[in-house]
Amino acid sequence: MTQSKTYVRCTINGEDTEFLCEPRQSLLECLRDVLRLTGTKEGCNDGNCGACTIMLDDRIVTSCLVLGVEVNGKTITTIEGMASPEGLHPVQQAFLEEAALQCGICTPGFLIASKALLDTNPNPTEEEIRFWLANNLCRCTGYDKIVRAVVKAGEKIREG
Amino acid sequence: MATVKKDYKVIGSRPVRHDGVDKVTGKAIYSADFSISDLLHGKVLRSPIAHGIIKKIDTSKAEKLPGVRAIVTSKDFIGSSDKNIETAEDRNEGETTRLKYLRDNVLASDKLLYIGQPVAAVAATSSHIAEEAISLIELEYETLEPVLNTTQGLSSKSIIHQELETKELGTKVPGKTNLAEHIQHKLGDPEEAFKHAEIIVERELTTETVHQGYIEPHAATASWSKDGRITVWCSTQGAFPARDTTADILGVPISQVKVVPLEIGGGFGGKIPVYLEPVAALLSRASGHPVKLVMSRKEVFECTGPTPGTLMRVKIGADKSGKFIAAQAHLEFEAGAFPGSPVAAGSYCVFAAYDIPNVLIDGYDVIVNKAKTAAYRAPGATMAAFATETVIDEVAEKLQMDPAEIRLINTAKKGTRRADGPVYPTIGCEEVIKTIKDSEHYNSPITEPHVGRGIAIGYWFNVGLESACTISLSKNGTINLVEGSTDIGGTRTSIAMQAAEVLGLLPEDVIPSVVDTDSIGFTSVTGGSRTTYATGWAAYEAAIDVKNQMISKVAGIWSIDADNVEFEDGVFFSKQDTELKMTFKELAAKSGAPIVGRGSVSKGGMGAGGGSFAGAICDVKIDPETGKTTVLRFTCVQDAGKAIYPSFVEGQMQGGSVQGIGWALNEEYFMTDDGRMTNSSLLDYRMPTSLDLPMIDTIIVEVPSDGHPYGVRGVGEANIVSPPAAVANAIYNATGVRQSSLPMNPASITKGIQDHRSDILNSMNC
Amino acid sequence: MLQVFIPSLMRKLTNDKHIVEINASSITELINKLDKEYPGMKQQLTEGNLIKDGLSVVINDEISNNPLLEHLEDGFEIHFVPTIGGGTF
Repeated sequence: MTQSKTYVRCTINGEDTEFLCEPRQSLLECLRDVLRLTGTKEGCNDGNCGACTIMLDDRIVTSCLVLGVEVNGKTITTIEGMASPEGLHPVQQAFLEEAALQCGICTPGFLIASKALLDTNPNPTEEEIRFWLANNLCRCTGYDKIVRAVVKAGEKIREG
Repeated sequence: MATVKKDYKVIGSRPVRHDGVDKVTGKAIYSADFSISDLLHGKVLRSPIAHGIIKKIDTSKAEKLPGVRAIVTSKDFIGSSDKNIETAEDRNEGETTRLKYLRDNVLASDKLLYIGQPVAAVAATSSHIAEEAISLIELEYETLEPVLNTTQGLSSKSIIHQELETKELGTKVPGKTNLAEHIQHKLGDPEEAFKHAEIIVERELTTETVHQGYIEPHAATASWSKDGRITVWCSTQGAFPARDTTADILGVPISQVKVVPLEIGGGFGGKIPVYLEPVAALLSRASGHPVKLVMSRKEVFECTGPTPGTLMRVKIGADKSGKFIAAQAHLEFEAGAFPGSPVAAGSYCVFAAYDIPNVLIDGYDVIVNKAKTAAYRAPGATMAAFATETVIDEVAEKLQMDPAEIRLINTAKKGTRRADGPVYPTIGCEEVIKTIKDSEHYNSPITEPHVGRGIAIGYWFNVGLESACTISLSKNGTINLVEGSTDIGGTRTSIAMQAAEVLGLLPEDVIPSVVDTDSIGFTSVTGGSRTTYATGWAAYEAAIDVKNQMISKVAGIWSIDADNVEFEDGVFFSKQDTELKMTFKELAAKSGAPIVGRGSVSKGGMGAGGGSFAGAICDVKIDPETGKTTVLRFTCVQDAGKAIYPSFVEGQMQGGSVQGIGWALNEEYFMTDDGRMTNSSLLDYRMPTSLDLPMIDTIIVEVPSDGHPYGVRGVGEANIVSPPAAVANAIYNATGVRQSSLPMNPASITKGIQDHRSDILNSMNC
Repeated sequence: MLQVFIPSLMRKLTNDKHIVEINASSITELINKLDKEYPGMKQQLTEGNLIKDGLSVVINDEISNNPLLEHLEDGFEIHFVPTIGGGTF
């Protein structure tokens, strides 16, 4: 029998991680089905909903459009790696306080994307927030409270 | 019943929701996240044609593929399909459903009725192998002429269900047809009244098929144990209805099925039906393993939901003062491949916001070769309001009246007789219109060219139905609240708050759990804007029960009569002896028989608490060259009765508004002539993104509903009803061109503008 | 007296009468009396002593889940309306 799986070694949420995956498996599948990190969600599997957004090195990507075998040697951050032992990240806290989630399925993707924005620009305008988050679909909130939460998280981050 | 009081401690506050931390840290388990030992993965073979006859399903090649463990077809159901059954929702609605229709929608038996209809399913050791196996199943069929809209459905010789007869208020009209039902409501003498109208506006309008668009695709895992017990883990708007329907489809007693509801990633009505659950169960029985099925986005678009395309004619007659004296509506709704479009609901809602003495409403439920339609947030009402509210706008314009004023002088109020007969209890329609009329937004000037403003009013009747709750008191003075309503948008908290208020607790002192169908009394769907209303009511009653048991307990401790014990601000005290006092927490810590309260309600079907009215004010800017519409400002006004958790009420209003804006401007199924959806991805089915929208302003109106202990009105749905009409009226105001079809995309707007080019140039001073 | 509203599609049985006044304390009694006055009503409204499939009973302003169990009082309004349906499967 020929070897059907490929060995991949990467860093996920700060942990050195090894896994085997089929060449056809997306990173999203590897995270969810192989590594059981189900916080990253699948909404469309073609890069259009943003529910599977993660950080790959310093870029936000939709993990359904990345193959598992591509991440060898790379650094990945998923929603599971956002909170610290001390508590929630300010953007997570702001989403809770501003009621920026309803069903919550898009929330991990929005949190990853929002944190990436705030890491580079902790004082974004409404327009900048809307532009940055335009690849993440939310069907419940109409985005109003998400925008407010990102503004509030930015304020918290700037205050330190 | 307790009177509505103003000085609530918990009601009206904004605590952090109970399930919030799990949902912002990725720990919450949604349907596709679920896993279990020994699990197989399934895929579904779906019909490639919209209408045909199944000749043969040959699974032999697929069976031989390594890793395939089971293949099932409709032959695997237990017992005859030739009977009518009463689904959980039917029980509240007084109708039955043909079992064959339910079964054919999850696994086709004799005919292919829409592209995407399930035909067979495979369970294998991986989803990729299952997918390969699907491609090895040979499906032979004979193609029939498809019926793709109501006009075709009512005129075509192509009959979709040979045995179908038209239902007309309980009777059956004989003859082969695609018309499943004709509904009629008549009030007064509209024919005569129209003769006396100063002005009559009549328009024909159409809307296209749209999808609920929840971000989480359907997924279900089922395990059929050797003892016959079936456990289903899924995301559903109603664990109990899902259990009952799954059992009905499988042909087993409901006691044999347990549904464990997982977190649900949006539903909007589209996760009331079951699609995968019975199929996963059949695959589990055939393979001896638990089986998980997850839909792709394409499957979600092609095979679930949607809400139908419609053809509507609405006519309104008014006197000189703008008073509506007669109205008529003709509503044709696509049912999809089986009976049951939301036309009945549309017929109830079409003129529901107004006091009109003479009304005739005809609704037609037409079978077409598309996926069976499912509920979508105020099902039927949005299309109907698009028709009514744009016609009213035109009546107002012709009479040179203010659009809010004409609505106000015609508003429905307590005592108004509806076209379908009953009179309204206390409702907030007038207050919603007044709030719009007096709002800063409505009164702000429009100064830019190509900018217009529109308003519209919408109604959803809300339902009550059945809910159960239990509350167990813990020794540390907290309570565990067990409920059966799946939580799509924070209802754990809005329900918990209603119990907390009774017992003088903080929201965080209540630990709510949504449990499986073995663990709480029957609870109807999270839908119909009923959850905060009815399950909240059950929680209120369970809390009252706990309070009464605690009063009995403390009375026993003090050896006084329970009638002499009062409870206020978290303290039990004797009315006679001021020395006798005990806090809630002190009493909870005392030993004795565990205190378990229960609440169980059945709060009627349609019209629970009078329903909820909402309205929208919309400002748009039109690019006259490209036809692009930009929503500049949007305000949603809604009567919440009493807002238990104002942030969640606002969230419902904003979410419904934006779904309505998407419906107005972008969303539609592009269908080929042979019934195929050509835009079944989230790229091509264009739902609003953050960049497409302004902030959505909200104004909560509170006209408490009669009956409910806090005066709650469900707020989940009415907010989607008015936006398409408000956007249409705004586009008219900006361009001078009336829109009669949804969506109002750039192509239809530029066409309208070109057709009226000279008028536009003049009115816009270009 | 109860005020019984006759749906438009049944008014051929009542000579186009929209409202019929009847004294009854239950829906069953009401339907029996209605049928006596306007023969054929019982057949239109019931099947095997149950309210017919596809029909709902509104008592005053709400659809009743269990109309046959309701106690009717003087002055109540009764409506027979088509079931809402839609979205159940």
